[in-house]
Amino acid sequence: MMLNDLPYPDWHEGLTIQGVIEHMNYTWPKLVTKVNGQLVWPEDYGNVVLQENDDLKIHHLLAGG
Amino acid sequence: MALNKKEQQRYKRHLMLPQVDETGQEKIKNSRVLVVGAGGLGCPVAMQLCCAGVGTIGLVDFDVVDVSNLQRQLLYTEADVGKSKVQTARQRLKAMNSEVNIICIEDKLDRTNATEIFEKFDIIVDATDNFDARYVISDTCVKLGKPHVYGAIYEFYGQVAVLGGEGPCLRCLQPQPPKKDEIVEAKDVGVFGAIPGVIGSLQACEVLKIIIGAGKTLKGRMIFIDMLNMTFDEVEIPKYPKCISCGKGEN
Repeated sequence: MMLNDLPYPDWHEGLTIQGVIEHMNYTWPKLVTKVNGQLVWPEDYGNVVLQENDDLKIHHLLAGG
Repeated sequence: MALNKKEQQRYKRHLMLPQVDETGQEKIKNSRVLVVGAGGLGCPVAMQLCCAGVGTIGLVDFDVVDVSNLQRQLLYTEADVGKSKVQTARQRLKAMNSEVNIICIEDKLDRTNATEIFEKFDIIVDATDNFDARYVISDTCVKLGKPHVYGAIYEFYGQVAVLGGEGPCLRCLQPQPPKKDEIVEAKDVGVFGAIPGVIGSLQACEVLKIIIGAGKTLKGRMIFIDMLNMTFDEVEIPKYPKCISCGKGEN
């Protein structure tokens, strides 16, 4: 599995987006995530199970100007 | 209103583009664009729109120029420190293009005044520096059916999207803004000086494309730019069916 264009070494069966967020200790309050190019809504972070060949991107939603 | 001789000369390089030509330039001249925030993003947005000949530009900001703004806020000089941002911006913009009508709104945007302010404009540019204002802009743009040209920056990173209208909106990405204690205030984070110029110019580009109806805008898409490593990414934003603003969710 890829996370932000780098191999993610801790993929395992049943891993969810929420699992990655917690494992990577993302503390940014609002994220934008996509799996294989498709946006995933925040309410689904705990439900979307990642496959070994999935491409996960996690971006911070910014507000600065 | 048609272009006069002077304008035909001034916008010659626009008129040479088949996507703009005289019809598009007239549309630009007759358009009214509101820029919320006259800081890092608001300065390049307003400058680009002013140069391009947008007929009326509204500027909303309650702040004064601080010396720490000068590293990236292109409309201000050392002599402006302590002065009203919108009044100073107006002077500079009028010097760039005296034909453009600049409306200063020296106030803080919130839910009590947003509708009244937005009603007078065709397109709303989000150049603010906080989530609260951004959700007010998003909700008001959906309510009034106006395009919301989103731009945001942090350190070396920037994002641009076109939201609003019938949706998708900001709440389709994140249904609620973060809580107060989850946020670091804009004044407490670093910004690489050239970043707002890039993102603000992209926002202005989207505004002008919307006005003239050219090309593929960022409607329903967000682009992410990492200017430290110069990489780009994008995501399509489907409408969130449960969205409390543009969908069928309950507020």
